[in-house]
Amino acid sequence: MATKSIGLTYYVEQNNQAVVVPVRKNIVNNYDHMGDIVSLPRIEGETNADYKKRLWDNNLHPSGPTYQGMLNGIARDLGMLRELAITIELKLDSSGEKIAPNPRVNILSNKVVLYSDWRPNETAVIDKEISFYKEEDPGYKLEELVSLINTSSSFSCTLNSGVRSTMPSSYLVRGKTDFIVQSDNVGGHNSNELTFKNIVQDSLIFGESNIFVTEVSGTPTEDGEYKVDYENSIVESKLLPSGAGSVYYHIMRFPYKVDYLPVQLYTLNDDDFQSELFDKKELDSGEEINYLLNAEGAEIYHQLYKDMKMFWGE
Amino acid sequence: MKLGAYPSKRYSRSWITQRLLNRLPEYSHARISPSAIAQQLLNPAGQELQRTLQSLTDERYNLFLPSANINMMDIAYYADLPSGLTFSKNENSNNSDVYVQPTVYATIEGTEYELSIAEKNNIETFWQQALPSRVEYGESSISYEVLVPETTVANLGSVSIGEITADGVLFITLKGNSNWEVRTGNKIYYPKIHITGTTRKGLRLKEVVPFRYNGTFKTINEWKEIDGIFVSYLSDDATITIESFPFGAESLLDTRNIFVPNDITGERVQFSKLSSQSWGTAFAIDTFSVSNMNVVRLGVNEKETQYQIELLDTSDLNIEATGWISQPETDYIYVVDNTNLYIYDSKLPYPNTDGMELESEDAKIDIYSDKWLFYRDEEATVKTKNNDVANVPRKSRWKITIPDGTTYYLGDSGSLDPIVTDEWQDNLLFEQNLWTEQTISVDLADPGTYQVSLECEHFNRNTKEYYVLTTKLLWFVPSISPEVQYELPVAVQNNEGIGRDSDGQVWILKYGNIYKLNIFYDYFMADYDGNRIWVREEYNSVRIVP
Repeated sequence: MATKSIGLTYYVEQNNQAVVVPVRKNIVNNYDHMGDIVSLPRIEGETNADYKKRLWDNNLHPSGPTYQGMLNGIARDLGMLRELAITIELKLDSSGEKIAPNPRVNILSNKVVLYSDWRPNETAVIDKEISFYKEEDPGYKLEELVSLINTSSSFSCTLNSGVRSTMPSSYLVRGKTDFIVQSDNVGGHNSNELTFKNIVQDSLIFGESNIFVTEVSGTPTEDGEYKVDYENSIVESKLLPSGAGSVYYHIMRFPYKVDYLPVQLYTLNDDDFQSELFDKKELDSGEEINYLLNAEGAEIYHQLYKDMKMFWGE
Repeated sequence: MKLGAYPSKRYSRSWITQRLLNRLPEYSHARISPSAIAQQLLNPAGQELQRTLQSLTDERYNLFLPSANINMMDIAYYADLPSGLTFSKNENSNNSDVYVQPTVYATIEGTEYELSIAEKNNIETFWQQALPSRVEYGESSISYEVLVPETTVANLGSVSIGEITADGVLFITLKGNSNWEVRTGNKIYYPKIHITGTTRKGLRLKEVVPFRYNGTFKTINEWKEIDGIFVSYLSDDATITIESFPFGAESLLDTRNIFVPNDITGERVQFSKLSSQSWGTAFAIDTFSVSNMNVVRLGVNEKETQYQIELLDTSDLNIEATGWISQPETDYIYVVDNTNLYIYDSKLPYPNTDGMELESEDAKIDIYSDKWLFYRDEEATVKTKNNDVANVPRKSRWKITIPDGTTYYLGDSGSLDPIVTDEWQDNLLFEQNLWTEQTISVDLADPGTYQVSLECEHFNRNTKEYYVLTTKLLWFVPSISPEVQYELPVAVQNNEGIGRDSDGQVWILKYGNIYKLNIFYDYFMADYDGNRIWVREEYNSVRIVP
């Protein structure tokens, strides 16, 4: 990690001698030439070893216009690298089966949501929801968040060694455990193994909808029936697929490794973030809406309007 | 002047020297004879070209991130003299002004120390060739885990792979393999190891390291995590060890040096190691006994030690070393024992040749030895060869000067007899004009230079006078004293080894943990015309007395 520049020289002269504060100077070498190729200049005072790590990080965590990409790019340019913070795993019952049928973890801008049964068809059974945005929130510090996740019936969590346990949980890089497989090939057999394991229930959408019509739990006996082994990703059908068909599905990725970065990005159209900036009001209908800006919200909006070149009042 | 076996058969004939000699006409004796004048003349140029070639190779490595030298100059600090103050000058004998070396002080942890100027006040001695000036415990330790402890190939499948202690290149040690090629049909398969995992660059990768001999190999990639290891075409009883530092290595490939033996069988790949002896530790050079550079992939034969250099401390006493590392792109090695860190220049030292010039130019009895480099306590043998059958000696006597400078007569049995009588031995066959070739063996009990001489008394038929001709030979038991020596911080004393990770950080192994060792270079370099000094370490302030 680069340290701050001294940037100051002073002299004390006495009897033909001088007391001087030396000034740090980076000497350009081959690492800087490699940095030029990927437009990643050396930070002042950065050693070869640290610079090499950042140059590699350019490949490991690419920058781009997405949340993750912007986070990676900004942090790297500031000399910060993503490090593993916590690992979330599934709790198992005595027979070794996972307790939650369709587990999902979603790390949002202000909270962690742990689902025991989440499916794309709007089934969402929440096991636990832990807020961490404000200092008074129960999961504000990483150690608090970890211990609260561990009180869940379906999930366990460990803090990576070397990570500061009192670090704010808002440093966690946002993400979720489910991953969408846009298109996977279905082979020309009655039993086909899909590429990715651990399929989320009710997430499969087959291209050949006339072959895969009704899901059954036992062996398919009628035309249009099919059975899915969600853990091993094996699809068995009564009718023979063409071999050229495709399937869309979600998979769940556990253990879930979550990185941290002291750089965070918030967008104003993020509902979760907005809920932290507004006071709430309950309508007659019972619906709760964002009402007036709270102190933090007012400050943020004020600052944004101030910096935006909208030429209001000119 | 003939110097016996030195230096015409010295080890140090470079690879380039032979390439230069190959341009001589085919009938030229110098192409093959190390004692030819042309070879001796070309060798210094060859050595220098060899270094230049090595520098070019190093520069090429620097073009790629995984192989770039982490010790390249990256951060330095400068301090300018204030206006009105300049470096002092003195007038020399040629009436020219020369700068006077300034005195520079730096405050380190509250105490002011005088800094040394870089040896030649140039970048090379300020940075690459600079010797450490201070060592401190880095206040950090990690539990050291061997990725794969020594395991037979047959059991490798059942071994769980540990975590990498220091992200970076890995060292794989193969021992006891006897299976070097498998022929199937018209194909030949060589043994190799396949390593699968995630590199520091974040790539999922498989690296295949070919095995050409029993020894320690280094991966090309720097690794973060290993999840799969697979070996092929190795003997079942061979063993494999994989670790972050080569603590388990017997010897390491010395990529800077090539061994050129006396017997003109071609250059040999050189390996370096520490050799533990009853009297202490030596730095030893191994090569394959048969394989040369071209057939090293068939290096199925064992390595043998070509020479070893005794390691001494600053009091010239032997040390019991626990580990060593090399300083990249130099010949310096860092060696640790229980209490100290020693920095040696690992090049073979020069023997003491004073007295060798006393050899007679037209000596008729030559003396020779199979080699000139020996270990301590090794037996050296000298033999005679009569080059002039027409004028044999009437009498002869052997002398030997041992490393402490004392000269003795050398008895037939190798005994060292004080010089009190003349000890001439009559040639009983002188009247028949015959000479019996002699062989004497001597135990070399101490390190240093031994000079053996044979004095022969001949008869000049023209002048009717007797005259003495002397033939000389040199034996050398090399030893080196450290360039510098520092007491290790208490936390890393009584250690088991030293290692340098891929980021250039030095670590000391002790009781299953590795401890960080910070090495400092308190030197300055003066830019006289620029009224500026450069330092390597971050000091709060420096005091310059120009």
